[in-house]
Amino acid sequence: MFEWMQQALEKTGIGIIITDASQNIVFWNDEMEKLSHVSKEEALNRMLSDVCPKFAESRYRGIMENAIATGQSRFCSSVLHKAFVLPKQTGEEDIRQNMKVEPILLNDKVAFAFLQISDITEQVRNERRLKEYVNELKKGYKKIKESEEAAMKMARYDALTGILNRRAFENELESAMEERKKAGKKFVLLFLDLDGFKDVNDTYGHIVGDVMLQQVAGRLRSNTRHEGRRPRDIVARIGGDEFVVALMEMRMDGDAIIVANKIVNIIRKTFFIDNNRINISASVGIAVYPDDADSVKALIDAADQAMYRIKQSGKNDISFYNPPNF
Amino acid sequence: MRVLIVDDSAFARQYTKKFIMERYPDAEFLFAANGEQGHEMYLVEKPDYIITDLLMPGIGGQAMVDMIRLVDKGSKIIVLSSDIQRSLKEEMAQLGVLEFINKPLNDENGRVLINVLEGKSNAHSDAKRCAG
Amino acid sequence: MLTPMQKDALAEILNVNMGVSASLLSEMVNQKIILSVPVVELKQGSELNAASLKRGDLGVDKSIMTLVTFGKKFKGNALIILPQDKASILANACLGNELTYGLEEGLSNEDADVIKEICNVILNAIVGEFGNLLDVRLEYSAFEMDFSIDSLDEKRIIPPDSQVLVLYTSFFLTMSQVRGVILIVLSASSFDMLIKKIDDMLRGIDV
Repeated sequence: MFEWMQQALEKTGIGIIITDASQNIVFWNDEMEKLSHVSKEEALNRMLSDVCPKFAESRYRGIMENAIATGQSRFCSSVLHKAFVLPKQTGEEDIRQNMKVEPILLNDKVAFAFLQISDITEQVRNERRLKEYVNELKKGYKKIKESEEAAMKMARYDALTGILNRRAFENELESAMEERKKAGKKFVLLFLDLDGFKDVNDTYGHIVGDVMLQQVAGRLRSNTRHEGRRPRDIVARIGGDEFVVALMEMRMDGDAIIVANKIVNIIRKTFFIDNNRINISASVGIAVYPDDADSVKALIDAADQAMYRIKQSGKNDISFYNPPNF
Repeated sequence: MRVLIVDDSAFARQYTKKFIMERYPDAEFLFAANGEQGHEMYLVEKPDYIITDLLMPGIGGQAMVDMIRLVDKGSKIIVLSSDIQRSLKEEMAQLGVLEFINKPLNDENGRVLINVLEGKSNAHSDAKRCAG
Repeated sequence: MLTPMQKDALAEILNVNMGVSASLLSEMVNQKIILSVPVVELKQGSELNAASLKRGDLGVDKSIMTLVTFGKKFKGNALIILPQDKASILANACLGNELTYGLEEGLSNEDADVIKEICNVILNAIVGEFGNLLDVRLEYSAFEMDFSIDSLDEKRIIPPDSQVLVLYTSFFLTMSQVRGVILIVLSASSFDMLIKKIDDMLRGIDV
């Protein structure tokens, strides 16, 4: 080989091995010495499989034999093979190398096998670190998204009772109104005010008062249709001790009376909180869509006014905005 | 001699037949295009030899061989397949297949096929090599 | 234009080639991989370009291309084109981790290396089988990989007067499927050589 070619092959920074067609080593560059700790003197004219034990394995024997017999090139990735040449003494598990095996033809016959071995241990390590970093970033991003969603949920739900808050209720009512309008159907809005709630707070304290509100919300939810059955009834807390319930499936005006009375009765049932037995009642105003009003604000107003009438006239009862004629 | 050829390619079936006919002009041939047909045909016709591909739609060649070997340990089956995985060859040898020949059929592996049909003892060589 | 019998024979030849490639690949990575060849089209080189392959129906919008060139008696190029986002699924499947989604960040160096190696093995197997079929000794150029298919328009890869076998293929992994395209670009005379061999095989056969 020309001296300058040999020098050129030394300068590539890649481990280069050239073997003859019988796999005897005829060239072994400086980089190979570095990678294997085997000197040129020790390597030249010996069998590749003797100097590099990996090549004694059947898979790599096969790759070499195929390259020499067929003239096909073969690329071997560090991912699938890890490494091809390891330093004699240490058997480092972390070393990563890529390898290319290519034939060199003379007179149309494969005369040599040209192996290039690149050490990419650093690159692999760096890429692994990058990947881990990206995963960490992804996890952090996921957390941020989750708390964003939580914040959005809070904007829709009343923090104490977990049912809809006023704004969310008005939105839902808007959609429900449109839907019922299209279906040509009626629905009913109940406006509930708890009678004597202020006294409960004064007598038993705010904590008991809060628990009571939660239990009221729970009782309302249990007695209305939600989750899964459409159209859903809507339950919301729109004030300190004010609740609204929109009942979607009203076949007759009579149904509204039955449900409203049922609600009055369940609120009248004793509350057991913190070893206390507490009783309250509810004043319920009823407004009908579209008979009594056809906008969200107006409908709530109507139900509110109906409720107010009851508050004035003795509480613990129901009242229609426009009493139906039976 | 009656030979059942099982392969989903019409060309492959006819090509194999042509190959065998050059040596055995009087041979009778039966054909099946998939594993189920092959199995049925075997039970009904009881050919002397079965030559089958493995990758076919339906139950495939391996399942067919399994079913046939289960009821007839004397069946003479030759696999002709492009799948060259060692593990598969070993599996087929365990099943008692006479020989495993790689597609495509050419002069070299064709000789192996003919040897099997002639009942020569070399026929088990590749199968034994795989199992061993 | 091929006759139905020639098409049948060609399909079987390609199936065998794919079968050999797939089993080599399976054995190499120790995973169950099945390569299908559902559809084969024959096109003139001038009819094919990167734009036509970039279309959605081939699913190869942002693609990886691997290429090997062979000659001399039987001359041409063989290419595998894979969509980049699915390529990481294939690469990971070969390592025994099956992802069911492509990664948005694109191919890592490691994934690219795995793809390079498996395409190398597949192309070597396919072309090698052609060499065996035609009983010619082949010489191969070094193996190339590109992260776009724009260079397909270069005449050196698909000469306008070449005949191209377009194989729409799928890698069937345990839980997912990766679609790709394999192109076998043959010089006109090499294509004739192939057809002549097929006609030889068809002699005496009534399919």
